Amino acid sequence: MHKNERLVLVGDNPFHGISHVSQERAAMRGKDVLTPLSATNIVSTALDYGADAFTFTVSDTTLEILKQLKKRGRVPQLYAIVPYAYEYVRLAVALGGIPGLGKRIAKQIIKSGNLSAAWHGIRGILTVDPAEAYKAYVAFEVSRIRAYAGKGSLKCLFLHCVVADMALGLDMDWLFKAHISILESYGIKPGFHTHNFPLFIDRVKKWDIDLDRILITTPFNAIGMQMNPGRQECEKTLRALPCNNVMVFGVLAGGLLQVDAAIEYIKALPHIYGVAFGVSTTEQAKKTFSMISCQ
Amino acid sequence: LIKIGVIGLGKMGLLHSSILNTMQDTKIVAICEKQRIVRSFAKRMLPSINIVGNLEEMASHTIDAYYVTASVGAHYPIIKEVYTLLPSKNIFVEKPLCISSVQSREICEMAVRHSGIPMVGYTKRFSATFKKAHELINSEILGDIVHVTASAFSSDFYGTEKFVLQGYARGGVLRDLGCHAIDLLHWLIGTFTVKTADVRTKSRGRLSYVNEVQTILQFNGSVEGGLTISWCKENYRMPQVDIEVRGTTGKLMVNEYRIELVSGDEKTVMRKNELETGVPFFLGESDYYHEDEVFIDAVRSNKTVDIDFTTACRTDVIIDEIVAKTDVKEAYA
Repeated sequence: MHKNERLVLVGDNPFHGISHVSQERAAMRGKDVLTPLSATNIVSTALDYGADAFTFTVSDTTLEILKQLKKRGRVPQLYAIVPYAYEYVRLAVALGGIPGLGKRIAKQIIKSGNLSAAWHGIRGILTVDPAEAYKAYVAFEVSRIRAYAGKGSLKCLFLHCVVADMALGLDMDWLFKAHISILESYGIKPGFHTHNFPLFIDRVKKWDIDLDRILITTPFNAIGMQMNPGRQECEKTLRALPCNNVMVFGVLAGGLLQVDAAIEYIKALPHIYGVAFGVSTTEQAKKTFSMISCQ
Repeated sequence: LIKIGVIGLGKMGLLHSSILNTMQDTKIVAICEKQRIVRSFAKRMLPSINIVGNLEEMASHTIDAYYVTASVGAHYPIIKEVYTLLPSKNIFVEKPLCISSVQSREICEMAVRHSGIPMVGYTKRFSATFKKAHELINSEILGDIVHVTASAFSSDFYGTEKFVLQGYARGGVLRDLGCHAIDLLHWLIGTFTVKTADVRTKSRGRLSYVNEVQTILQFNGSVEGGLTISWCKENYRMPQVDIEVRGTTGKLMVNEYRIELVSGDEKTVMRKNELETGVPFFLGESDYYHEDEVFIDAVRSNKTVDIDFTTACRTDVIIDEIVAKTDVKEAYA
């Protein structure tokens, strides 16, 4: 892989018990990988063996990893994804639904003393403006990451596909524009996580959003797993992009592909900004990232 | 152009609206939501869609099909109102059909009286692995079925000791998660009855809901089976239904991720990603797109669907049978 041109990232899916192949497989990894300390060791090892950055969904687990990395004085470049839908759904269950969750977030915003988030939030509610309310939420998430990792390390904040793809389907261009506007005001690159790459590019162009201003994270792999509507369409869209702004994940197809075969496939693709690999042990981190560094 | 009205702007309302909005020749015309604050935000969030507060307002729009995605307790009055008040009788309802078989039967009778396409969103029927399992079982590769075991687990309420209002609002584990397993058993194996049931509930005052269930089932005469349902299990990040079918010439195990078929000495494993291809628009799972595609196609061509109200009613009957086997007074029903 052209190491100097493309960012290599270590991903956090195994730390959340996520496997795209099966839940059994995720459970079989054991509970060790889910503890912040062992996850921090895995991230550190990945960084030792050539990873440039860490990509993660913002949750208590990953914030704790950031805290540990900061303690060790080695916070890498961060590419975060919000919201961590699973955590919010669980919280909503515990707190009595969306109103309870909203109150909890509002309380946390107030407690954090984040004036920007509070201002956007109050304005959003008073004027019934969803874009302002969304900006309050983003301000809150940015402040959480910065509190744990320091100010300069957060390079990009992606909007999670659960929200981004839903908004894509509903033509909610205002949400994409609000995401870009608030993050650019913080000097952070706005990003979008999608499982509908060709449709995403089509809509972004329709909404006059400059592709240079954003990063996109989406699955690419040699067997077309999770590539919608299909591998060919996704590759065609990628080839037609004007810039290198796609960060790919799922390249190992949940472990169904070997690392070398996955790298060969990705190497041949144009317009790749970065490649994320999830690893669940320090041994796997050594093997995977040293193999990538060699190519 | 098929014009759609969505009733209930929760998680499933947004999901279906989003998928339907990407389909060619399909348009979301109006969304009905009873909560004023949600309506106020929705008007700003979705400016091209009419946001209304009741079904009378919805009647002022030309609509070809309705999606009922409100909470399960509201299905019965909403469907009744659609049949009596609104011109189109094409109705898609999120699972389960109603909160009791009495309500479901009444809705089925209404569906028979009115023309239209009724469908219930038992989405797991559209999952690549369960579809393949259906095909394999129908091919009689397993011989005569001798035993069936099934489970439906999630971690939604793992570690939650107390009564939680969300558990009640979702209709308890039987109607929220267990109904998928019950529907799949009907579809894959055939009709069955409940022999015994051990039901655990959570209660607060007069409110209660089913939290965990263990049952013994009787399929087509002599075949026995077991079904366990819980939303308090550890390590189920996503809800999962597992079904094992043993026959005289083979065994099949299936869940959302894989199928394992054992026939003689031969074992075949088929994974979800090998069985499914991409969809034009992916949200949540590709199953949702396939499900909506089937309903829209049925409306367009005026043809029936497999999972209509009568089929879905069988699941509500089994749920009532399970609860009736115990001394639990399920306040929700």
